[in-house]
Amino acid sequence: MNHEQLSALLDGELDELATARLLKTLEAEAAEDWSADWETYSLIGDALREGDRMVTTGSAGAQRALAQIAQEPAPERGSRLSVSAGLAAMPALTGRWIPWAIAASAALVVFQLNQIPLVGDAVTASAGSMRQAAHAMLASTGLGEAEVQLADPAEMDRFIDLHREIATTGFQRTSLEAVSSSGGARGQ
Amino acid sequence: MKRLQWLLMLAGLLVAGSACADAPGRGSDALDWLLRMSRSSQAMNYGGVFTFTHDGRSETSRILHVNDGGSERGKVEALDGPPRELIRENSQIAVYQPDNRVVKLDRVEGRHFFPSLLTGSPTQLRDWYNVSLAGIDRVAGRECQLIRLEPRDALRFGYRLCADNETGLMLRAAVEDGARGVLQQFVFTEFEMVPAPAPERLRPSWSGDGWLWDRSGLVQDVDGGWQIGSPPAGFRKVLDLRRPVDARGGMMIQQVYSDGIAAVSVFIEPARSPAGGAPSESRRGALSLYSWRIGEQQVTAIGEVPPAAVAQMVRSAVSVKNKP
Repeated sequence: MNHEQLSALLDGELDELATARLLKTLEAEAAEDWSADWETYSLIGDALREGDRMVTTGSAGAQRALAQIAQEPAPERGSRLSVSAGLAAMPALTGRWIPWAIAASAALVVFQLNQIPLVGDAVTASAGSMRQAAHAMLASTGLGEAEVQLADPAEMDRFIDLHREIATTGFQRTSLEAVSSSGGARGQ
Repeated sequence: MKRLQWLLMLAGLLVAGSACADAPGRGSDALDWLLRMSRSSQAMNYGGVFTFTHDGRSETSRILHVNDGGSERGKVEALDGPPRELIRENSQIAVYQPDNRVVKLDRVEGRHFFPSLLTGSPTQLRDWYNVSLAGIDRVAGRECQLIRLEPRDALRFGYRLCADNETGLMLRAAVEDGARGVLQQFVFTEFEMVPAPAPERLRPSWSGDGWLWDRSGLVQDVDGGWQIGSPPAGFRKVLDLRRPVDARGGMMIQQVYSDGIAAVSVFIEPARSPAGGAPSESRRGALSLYSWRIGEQQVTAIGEVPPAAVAQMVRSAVSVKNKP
């Protein structure tokens, strides 16, 4: 598999036969390096969230992931990122579902970069864009979802109150009821 | 000349017929009802008791709303749970909390309270929902027109509204999900038109003397320095404010996004979870929550939308602060 072929697929330049061949190749490659790709993507997510600190503590995989990102030129302010550029920012993906995930990711990357607002001369159009693009990639490939944990119920109560105070009821009730039912006293 | 008179009469009949056909309740389409619903919640004098049912619980409130020559005033009392009263005087809101002797002052703009759940232009709702009439029902002893809003994508829930036949006011609003049925509902159990309520009916039950008057809610319309890169289609920011996050003076940003009926709050506050932690999510009734640490900030979105919508918002949150 190579990125030129994937790029052609995303650009709609492959005919049905070529598309079928490419999908088969992707599927065959899945068994070989699935776990490596999983690790790479997880590390990319972590690295982008943590920025420089990840470099000092990261594994070889993290270094590799950061190196891949570093090699990509920062997009110019307000410029479109092509599908090919979006693809190049991604390591090799494999699996039956991957082409569609890539298509969705690339589309999201393009869409999101166009959504990033420009304020004055100091907008985070490079690091910020890449970070958000990586978020979008992780989200759309489903890899980011694998680690999601259940929110703390007390935190949920807090945010429900804050939300409903502005939208819906105008009152804070949930947290007070939680305090009351757990035996605590209401504030005086 | 006689022929001209007949033609004028015929034209008059056609115009009258057309006017009747356009009047809400006489066969006009669902959009007319939404427009009427939107206007009546602000323009009319009404009172009643409504119940908010969600997540296996219910909260009951009494409401009185008055529009006196363009001046809007109102009072909402919580009838169960901790005593609360919301007093409205045009754009100002004061929420009385006698149990902790606090009056929270706020502004009404960007807020989203029953029965004024429609924000913005109802015509835009048609871009995100299939809007249709669904027959006649009865709520609080009054006939009402059922209006269904079916979502056009998977990033919002459906709504079943019922508008009072006589006044157009929203008497019931249910949020529903095809798979899970009704997720939450507001419904009037008592409703009355109140032509000229006595002024004392609109006053709070407490003077508030010696209480803490919290004005922090008035700090709003600020540029919080964060934007949601790709909210679900049709969701626009309707509110951007700062509010205290703790007693030590810490502040959080709250932005509210709406597609005209559904609302999502996005909170940005200093992160408390360890760096590199996994995002967290939860859902309760119609509410979905998604929270993730981005840099040094915790970004949390919560709203009456499916989980995918809040996740999309948090994951596209971006700081647009000017660098020094």
